[in-house]
Amino acid sequence: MLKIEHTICPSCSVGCGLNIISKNDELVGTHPYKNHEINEGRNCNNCINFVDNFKSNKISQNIDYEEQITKFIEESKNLENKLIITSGLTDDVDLNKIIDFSNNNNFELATYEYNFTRIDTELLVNYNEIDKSKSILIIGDIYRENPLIARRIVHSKKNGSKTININTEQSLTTYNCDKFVQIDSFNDLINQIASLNLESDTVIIINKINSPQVFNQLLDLVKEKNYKILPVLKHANSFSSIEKIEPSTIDELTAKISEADEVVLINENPLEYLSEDVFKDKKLIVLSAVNNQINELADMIIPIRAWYEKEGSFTNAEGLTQDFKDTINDSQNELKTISEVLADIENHYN
Amino acid sequence: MKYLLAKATDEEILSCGECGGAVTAILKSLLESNSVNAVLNIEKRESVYDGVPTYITNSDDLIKTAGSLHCAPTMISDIIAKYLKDDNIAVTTKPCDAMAIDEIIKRCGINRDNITMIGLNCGGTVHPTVAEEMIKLFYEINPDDVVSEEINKGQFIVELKDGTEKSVKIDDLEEEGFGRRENCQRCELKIPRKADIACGNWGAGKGYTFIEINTPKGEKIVQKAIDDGYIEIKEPSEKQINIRKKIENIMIKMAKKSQKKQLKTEYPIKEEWDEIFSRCIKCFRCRDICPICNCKVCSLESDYFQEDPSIKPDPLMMHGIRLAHMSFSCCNCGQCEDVCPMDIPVAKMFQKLQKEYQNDTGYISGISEGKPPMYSGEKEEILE
Repeated sequence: MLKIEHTICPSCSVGCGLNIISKNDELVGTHPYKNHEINEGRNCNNCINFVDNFKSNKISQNIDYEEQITKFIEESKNLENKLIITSGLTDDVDLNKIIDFSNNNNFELATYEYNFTRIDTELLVNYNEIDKSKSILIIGDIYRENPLIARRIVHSKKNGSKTININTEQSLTTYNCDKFVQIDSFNDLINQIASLNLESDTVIIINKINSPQVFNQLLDLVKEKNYKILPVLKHANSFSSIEKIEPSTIDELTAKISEADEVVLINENPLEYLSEDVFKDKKLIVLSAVNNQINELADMIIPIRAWYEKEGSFTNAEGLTQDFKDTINDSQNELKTISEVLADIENHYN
Repeated sequence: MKYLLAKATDEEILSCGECGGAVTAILKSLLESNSVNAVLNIEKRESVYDGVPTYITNSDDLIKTAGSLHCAPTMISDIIAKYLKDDNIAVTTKPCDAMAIDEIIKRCGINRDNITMIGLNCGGTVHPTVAEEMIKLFYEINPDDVVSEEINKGQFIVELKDGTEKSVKIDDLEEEGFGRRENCQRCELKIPRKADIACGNWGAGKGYTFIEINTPKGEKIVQKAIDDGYIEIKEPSEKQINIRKKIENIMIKMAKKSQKKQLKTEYPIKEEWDEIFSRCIKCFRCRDICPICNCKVCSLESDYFQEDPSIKPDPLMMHGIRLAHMSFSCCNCGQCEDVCPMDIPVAKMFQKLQKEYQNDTGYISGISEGKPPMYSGEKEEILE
């Protein structure tokens, strides 16, 4: 039986709509969701590649949760320092459960959000305002990495906006801007922006930063000069993740892992930003819907439902929360959600 | 029996369906007589702006697909080719769906015997988000209050929750950049005669669907629907046949005018194309959605066509190759342009080249019999 259902792209924080095609309860493809207000049926490679990964790398449903959870509890009961690392790939319902679980069961909780930090929502620009803005400063390569935000910049250019790109290297964004400012390091970022004498209603769009300190300096500048800003965060629910969990830097996260006896990774593959050496001699538990590099290092893998097999919500870069539903609705699906797995573990503790 | 007027006998279909509900009634007849295993049709989900292709095996669910949806610019041919190739299904086809199916059949991607094509005459579709904005601006109403819409006598007409109607001339909407999608404005095929039957309201009169029977299979399915009591029919008058023909001709004339404007007078010059192409991210969405692109192994993914992503894109490495590979078969469905994350007017470029090819060879994509004159048999080998 073929089904086409709406969902929200789980890849980056733009919050695009997407239709999932399933056949006989298996994900087989995607289809444009043309009535979605953010992307109007357009999706980029981040999205399509992310979904394709579920077609080819999904962890199978054949698992005895009772056995796995008993084993997990048995093996970790004498460990003192336990750390959970999650990410903006986790939806709001599961994120709340992870926070409760870590508080109630003596797990430290950490995330890495690529040096972005919590932001005063009054400083945020919404997507429709980008279309109409007259002056845009782009930090990083938005055209290649977040094309559906770049499309808004294209619209603004048609309306006569002036665009400047700042980055450490040239990119597709550079070729599409009126001016390029090359910096040797992001430590020069604030001085360079100050020297540009930007108009007061300038919109700053950023998807790359080297440290929370520099990002906070940038936010101070935005506030002082009356600019607006859109940090395009790494994952679909990074906005919520940052709101709910104080993100760590790479150094802080490395230190936390170093101190931990056991690391539980939930919807996160730290090998995207850390070397595998940091996990040496650690008990590593992975809760994931797909097979990836980190699973190869894991002592235990607990499969979970993918976002398209469950209900939930993501909050995107402009702060808009969008619900999504179970696109498969397979009553025979034996996979559990993150919340269900954590609830089962708590039941065993009690 | 070439032309006839038909309406559903079922009261629910009559009230929910468009112009007599004959399409829904015929689909019901096909499904309930086991002539097909399933129906692929467009279902209204959250609103009139949210049409989604839906696979139906229970005839009770067909009612959800009754009525017209002009704000659902979907393409179903690639769904059939990719996921339903071996299913025996009935499918509603706009002219662009029918053209695309024809081109895929020529490439052995769909088996014509497996599909029953119920054609829908089409004056064009409106992008759903454009429709919502245009309804706010020109009709000065809340788009959520619209319960149905139709295109009739050059007007885009909306019916509101309170039963009232509002209409605006399509010409006025399109002059301001709203109205039908640009590729629909340029489309010359309004009646899908490659479908088994072609259905619509032009010339039909109130409460009836005008059906043109195009194939022996089409004749059989209509006769079966009559015999089993799903539809009632009557013969159209000469005047009604002429009205339909006249509407078709007016719309073709309008399309030619739009082609002249969009593909000649206002067609981007080289410098403008250079700027447009500089934002191409080579995501291949235009290729992936294209119903004509059916090769299992795509040349664009060859190592020697890969570029350093940090350098300025070379349009020849992407669009040049696609143009050479399939522009002669472009059916101007506009899907490539609809899904481009960078708003590159791809369909314009492809249709312009198809028109040049048509002028030189006489081959009209999705309409001419046989394969395009320069078609390479290697494509079929790749498919097999």
